Amino acid sequence: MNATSERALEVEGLTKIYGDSLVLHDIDFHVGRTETVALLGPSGSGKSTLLHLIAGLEQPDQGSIRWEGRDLANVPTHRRGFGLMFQEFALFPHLNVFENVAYGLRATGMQAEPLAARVAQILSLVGLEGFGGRNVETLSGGERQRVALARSLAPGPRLLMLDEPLGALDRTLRERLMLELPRLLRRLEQTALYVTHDQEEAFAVAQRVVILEQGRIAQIGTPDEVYRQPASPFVASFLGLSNLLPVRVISEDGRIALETPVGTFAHPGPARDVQTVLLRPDRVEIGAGAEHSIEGTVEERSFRGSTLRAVVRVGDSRLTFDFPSRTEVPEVGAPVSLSFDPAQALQVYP
Amino acid sequence: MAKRDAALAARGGKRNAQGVRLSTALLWIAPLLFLALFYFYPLGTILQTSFARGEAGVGGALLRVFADPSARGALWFTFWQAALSTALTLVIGLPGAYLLARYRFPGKRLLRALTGIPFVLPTLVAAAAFNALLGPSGWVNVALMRLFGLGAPPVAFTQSLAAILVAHVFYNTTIVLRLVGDFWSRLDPRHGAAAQVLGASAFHRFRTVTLPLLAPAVTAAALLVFIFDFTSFGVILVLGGPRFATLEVEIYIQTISLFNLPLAAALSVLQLAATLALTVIYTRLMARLSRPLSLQTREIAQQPLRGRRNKLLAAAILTLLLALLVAPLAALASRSFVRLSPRDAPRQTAPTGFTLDFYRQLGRDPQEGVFFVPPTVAIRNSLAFAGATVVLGLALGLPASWALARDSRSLLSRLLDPLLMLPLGTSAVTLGLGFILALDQPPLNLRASPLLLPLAHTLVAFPFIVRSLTPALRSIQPRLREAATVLGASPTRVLRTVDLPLIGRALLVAASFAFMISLGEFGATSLLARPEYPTVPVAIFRFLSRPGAVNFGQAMALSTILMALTGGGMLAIERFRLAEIGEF
Repeated sequence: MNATSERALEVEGLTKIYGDSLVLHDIDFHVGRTETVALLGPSGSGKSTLLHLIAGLEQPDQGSIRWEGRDLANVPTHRRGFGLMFQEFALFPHLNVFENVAYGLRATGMQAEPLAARVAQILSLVGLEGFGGRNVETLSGGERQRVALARSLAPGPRLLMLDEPLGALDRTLRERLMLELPRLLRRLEQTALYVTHDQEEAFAVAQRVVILEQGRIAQIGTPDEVYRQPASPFVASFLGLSNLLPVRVISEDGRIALETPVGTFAHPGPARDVQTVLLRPDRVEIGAGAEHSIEGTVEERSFRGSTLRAVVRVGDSRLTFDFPSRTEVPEVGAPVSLSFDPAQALQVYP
Repeated sequence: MAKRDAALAARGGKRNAQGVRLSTALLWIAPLLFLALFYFYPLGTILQTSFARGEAGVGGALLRVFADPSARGALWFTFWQAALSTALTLVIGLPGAYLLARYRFPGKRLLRALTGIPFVLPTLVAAAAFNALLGPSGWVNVALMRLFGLGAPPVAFTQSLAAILVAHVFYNTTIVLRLVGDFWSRLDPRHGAAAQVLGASAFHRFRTVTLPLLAPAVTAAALLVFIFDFTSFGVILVLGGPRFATLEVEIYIQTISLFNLPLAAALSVLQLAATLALTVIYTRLMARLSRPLSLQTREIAQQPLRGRRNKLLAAAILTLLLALLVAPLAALASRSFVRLSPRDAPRQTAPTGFTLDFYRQLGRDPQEGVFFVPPTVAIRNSLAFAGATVVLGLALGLPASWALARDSRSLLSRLLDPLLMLPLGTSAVTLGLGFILALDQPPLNLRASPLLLPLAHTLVAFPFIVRSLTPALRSIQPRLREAATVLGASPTRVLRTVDLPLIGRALLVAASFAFMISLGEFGATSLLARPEYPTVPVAIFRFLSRPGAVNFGQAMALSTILMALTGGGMLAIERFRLAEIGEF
């Protein structure tokens, strides 16, 4: 049986309004048992509000939140049995590491001995053995992050919510934790909801992503699905697929063709609504090898380690490509030919 | 559909905000009632008294002040001594602020704590301390007389302008050290570094980067120092002697000795107008200072002392600060334990040297009619009044601070915030006068009530209490409460395990302020204390104004006890105050 088939958290028709602005509109999604789902979206897209609604810190204006089929509307936050790791960690400054981690356990009335054992176990799980007596104000950013994680894990929450948990950390630490965190969540078979604005993070941590755009769901799918088939120009450009080009639909001899700055292509489907086309940068190569080729001028090139980014002008359009860094890219100002297979490289949007 | 949703939400939001506003308004009731009854009503009575007599209203009252030569003299003297004192305080304090702000060195914490003591020291103790160091029977004069066999004390320090100025510098240097030093230490040194990279010389850097950034802090400190010097009372009365009178002293003399209440009231009005104006400017400046200015944590901004020149400079500044701020206190404490002449014993002659006689004497029944009660009773009175002040102060300060912290941007808070600070800019003697005029007749006759002094002390301590509590209450981020709730804590558990522990320290700080201010308060007390219920400062004043070595010794002993009590309070504040909060 598929681990994610059993629905744990179900969100249906959720709507939240502040004053005149619609912060969340008709949100539907679910999180399966032991699954990690990422809520991905730019800042202001309503991700944190959604978490707060699920945690019960705020009340929805419409819609329902259910856990294993049971409506949570009348369950106050402290009885929901969820964990929430806050963006800035929100560690209790007046408690040491041990007491911070023990906080949720004390609220359950756990005895001193099992409590101490549990805290020690959780601390070692996050790699903070022996930190119990430390003052949280003296910890580094990475250590605070671990304490915050340990604190939200300690009571064994049915659902762990993480709000930009790696946002406050430096790059090296982030990349390491991006590997460690999913491993830990998998090991604990933890059902989790992970909020981030960083697609890399979302793809690394989650089995499915929910992409939010201004309070609405733009797409739901596995990382692979959303990257291969972005549902809208917004999703495409949010995922870094930025070569969105204008389209003119022309009708030739009863056949429909799409005129774009990179060429005119036959279009098999109904074309009335096509307005934008995405040229996938990962499907374009340098040289005239593939089916369709175009000529352009290199406007910028910058070395980025494993890739080499080139901005190429084709007609009036500037196209951005990330080539493997061993690719031979002409100097700035030099002409360059690019080629691609339209069936794979082009995606059309209304 | 969306329209209906929006309307629904707007209604819900409004209801919620209204609820918060209503409960915030409820919190204001007790503090405002208190201020109305014990601040505005007495001050209103002063205004009434001062204008009622004169035929020409406001003009008449002012005319009366300017027609009276001693009142005119007091007005002029008040201004220029305050200006001169402030300038001197800045000259001494700014280098110290720089040292504390920019460098790490051993003993720094101790220095910070030591330099904090004078500020909270009761004026009478400060006056006694300078007497012990430089007075006619102070250490310096005694040493010089012994050394050169002189018959009279060679240094005439007390009863001089110099004494007033030095005492003011002693008192207020702490303000400059704290206010400017704290702000300076959090200024990002990278601003300076950036200017350096741009080719600015050290002097140019200071003038174009540091000084403009620092200017509001320096101005705020100077204003606060000026306000304190302007309303100085005990120092002038005891150290200056009869030749010098500030407005404050003049009000006291007109009230107590001449019983010219209308003139006293007119002077109060004048003083009130000046200090209120200054306080308003100060509050504005402080509000600007608390705006984040890419402030840096201390660790990054400070460096260890390196290089011979820096070390020498630091040593010079430290020596000056210690000599000025600590020497009088040491002189006071030591003087209370030493008998200089065999004739200085209470009854018969006794050996000179170390003695506890001055302390023992405090428990005896009074002689020479200085008091109706032994001085130990004064200690007991002071402690009782201070305890009552703590209770009253917290009971009124907590709701006010809570309201301020919860809803700092609402119109109500913005209007009431400066109002709460008013007592800070009102002289204690004026408050005392107001109490005398307003509260010894119906409808509110409290003249014989033991609560009169705690009420006055609470008024004086109120701004300090609110200023200690509000930032702490504000610093409890809603996130922390939410985190606790998500972790399964019920609302009462959140209150018990998050809110209370976090404001606990601030409560201790506020209570310490209330306690110390009450213990040392002299301005209002000098007018309000009943002869049979003297407080310690009143007792010190009476001892100091009497001749004789035994009286002097007892003044020293009482002052030392008061110094120990307030010093302990200051250490408690240093220990418990949250590091980032330093408004005073």
